[in-house]
Amino acid sequence: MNCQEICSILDDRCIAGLSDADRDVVEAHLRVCDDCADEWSVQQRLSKITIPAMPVALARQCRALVSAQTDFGADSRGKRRMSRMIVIGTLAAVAAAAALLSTVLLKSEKAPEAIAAATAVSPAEPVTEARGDTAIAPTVSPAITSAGPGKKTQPPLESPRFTVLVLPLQDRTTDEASRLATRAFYSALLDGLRAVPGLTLLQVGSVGNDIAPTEYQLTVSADGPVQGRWSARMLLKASMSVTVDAQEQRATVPQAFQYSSVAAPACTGSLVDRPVTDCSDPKSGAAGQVDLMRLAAFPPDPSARRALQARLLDRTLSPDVRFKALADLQFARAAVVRGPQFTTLVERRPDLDKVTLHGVVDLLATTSNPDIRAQISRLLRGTPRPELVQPLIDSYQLDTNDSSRLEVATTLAADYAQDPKGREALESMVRNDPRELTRMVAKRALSGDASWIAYVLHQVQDPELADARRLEALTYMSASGQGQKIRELLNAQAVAALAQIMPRALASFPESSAFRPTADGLVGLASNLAATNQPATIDLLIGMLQSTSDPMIRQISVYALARHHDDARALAALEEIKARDPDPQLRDAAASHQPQLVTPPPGT
Amino acid sequence: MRKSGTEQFDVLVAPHLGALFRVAYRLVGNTADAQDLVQDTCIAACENPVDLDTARHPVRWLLRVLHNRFIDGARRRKRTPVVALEEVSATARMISSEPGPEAQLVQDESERLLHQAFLQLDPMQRTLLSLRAEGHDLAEIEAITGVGRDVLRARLHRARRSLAQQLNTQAAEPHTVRAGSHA
Repeated sequence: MNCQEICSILDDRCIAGLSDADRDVVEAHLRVCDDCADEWSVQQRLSKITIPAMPVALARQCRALVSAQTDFGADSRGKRRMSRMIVIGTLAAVAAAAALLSTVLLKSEKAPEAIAAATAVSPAEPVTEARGDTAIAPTVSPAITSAGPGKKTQPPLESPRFTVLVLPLQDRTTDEASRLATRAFYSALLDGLRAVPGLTLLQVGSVGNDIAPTEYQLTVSADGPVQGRWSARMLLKASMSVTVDAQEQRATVPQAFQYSSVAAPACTGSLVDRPVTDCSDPKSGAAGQVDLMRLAAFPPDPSARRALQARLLDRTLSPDVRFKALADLQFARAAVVRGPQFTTLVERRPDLDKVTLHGVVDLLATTSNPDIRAQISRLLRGTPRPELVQPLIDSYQLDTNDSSRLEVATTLAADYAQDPKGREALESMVRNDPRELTRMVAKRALSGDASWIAYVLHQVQDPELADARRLEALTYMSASGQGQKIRELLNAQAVAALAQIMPRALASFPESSAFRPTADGLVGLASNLAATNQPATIDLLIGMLQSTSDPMIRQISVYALARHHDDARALAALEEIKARDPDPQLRDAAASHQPQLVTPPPGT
Repeated sequence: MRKSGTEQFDVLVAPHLGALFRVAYRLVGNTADAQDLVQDTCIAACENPVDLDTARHPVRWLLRVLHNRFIDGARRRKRTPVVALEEVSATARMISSEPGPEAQLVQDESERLLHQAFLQLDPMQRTLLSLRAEGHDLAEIEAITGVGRDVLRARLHRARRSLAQQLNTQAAEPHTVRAGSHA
């Protein structure tokens, strides 16, 4: 028997199925023929290789995905999403705007007015995602693959490949505890990056040249302790493809991320294979930062997206976990926007795809938690889809919770006022909702801003109302992304009234139950009020500064006062901060924003 | 009457997910990618109605879909411009290219080397050897891949020979570190 015949026997039957005579022949050949012995040994080793058990959730996830993909929205199958037009200004403008992005993406400890200014771009303006993946996205093969001959299916999912170059850690910590925490954070950050599918991690021994076109470059710096906490800042530079005068060019876009040992605000925890965590320690905090980079900066990963969709669709999971998956699916990414005069970078949520939409509808219909429904409503604002009108209306009618109903009303007002069903629901709210604010939100959508402005001004100036009620409409506006409009509608009398109300409100929050639900709104409102320019604005700022210990609001007030340094009261307040305030960051802010505070030399 | 996607899944797909996962894991070498491949396969399989022959041999049909998804994905990967280690700045160095913790736990050194060599084969060779290792006979592999019997024999032979040579080469060389995170 020759080698070919031996192979035929081995291929036709497994070794156990051979007759005794055949087995003797085969074994005799294998003893003398190294090539065949190697071949057979390899085949046997492959058969015995260890294969892990199938993950228990896989069947459930597959079923949910099949359901969403094939049973829901069949009418829309085959429709192609229209490519969004990419119109970008000059490369120089993008580079200039890139600096703004670092401010936009700083989640904390940045002047909120800068964030508001950067995000206040008309949604109608042309947009492209700053994904940085143009040069590294896999070339799409012909979409014809086969579930059977001649059948057309989607191409398989694949994680995009990209490279992250990590520069050496800039450790500026000054005590041992901060240093240890920083090292743990940095090490976990690198581990987290290594685990990102498709990511090749590189490190240089020293700060080198600028990044190559297909790479990301990450700089990590750590400081602390300041007021007992250390913090890490990450600057991720993405090499991004942009179209300039119909030509593809590349720009470097920096995005900033920050982690603080106390605040730990930015943990997502719902990406693949990691449970939700509070990110209160350096290790899980680093994992949260990796998640953020994946969601906001790295090329979109269809595999991760699918895993999140499976989680969103999984009814056996808690509504919290499902909502977290939705929030990550709809996480805003950096986008380049060309305005009438300049090009800037903002954060934009992705469009709702069919599967995610299915998950949203299902989650809205199945969760009994009104907070989740309110959050869904808020998250989906600005991404209108006709399929959502009825579920939102149902949610509104189901909810007895005022806040939840207000959120749904806001979304219906913002996105569906022209939809017949949406309009009908808004008209019903105007007539029947027990809460005046909700009625006014609905009315504004139907009849315009005039009645709304009158309502807000009346509320603020009505001394008969409790403070919480007087601030209610303004905190609502601030929390629902209408902060810039606050500055436009407040007149001198209203700001004068607020100069009385805000110090009282800040002094009693967060202890006061009246303000506790709107604590975040109060901080946002403070930043918007700080940007007003009325005669009473300085009184308002000084009042806010003196009435609260909240570091964010105090910092907002100091920055705003610095803009009024030609006013004697503002100058005196800044001098006071610079000389006596226990917060070193606030002292620095007062000094750095007020060069005139330098004491003149004697004799001048 | 045409079954809905989920009905098709429940009746024809769900009972065979374990078999699909095993083959997928062999092809890609890690659980995460295997799950992706199985999910892709399920969606593709349930998007279209099935004929009688398919309903009679659901495993073959599903493995055919999986095979096509895998081959198509491999074609795409081939066209993907991956930054090769040599092209990166001379000052740069790899931080890690070790397999993930899961792989480290599951595989002993010998299996790891075998897997590493296996992942060097072309996608069709990997499919043939995986199906053979899962106990599918030539008639089944022929039906799944659409490759005729004689060609199939020759390809299986070449695949095994290539794998054996890869292993021999590995054994002769010092341990090398490879770039890239997924096959």
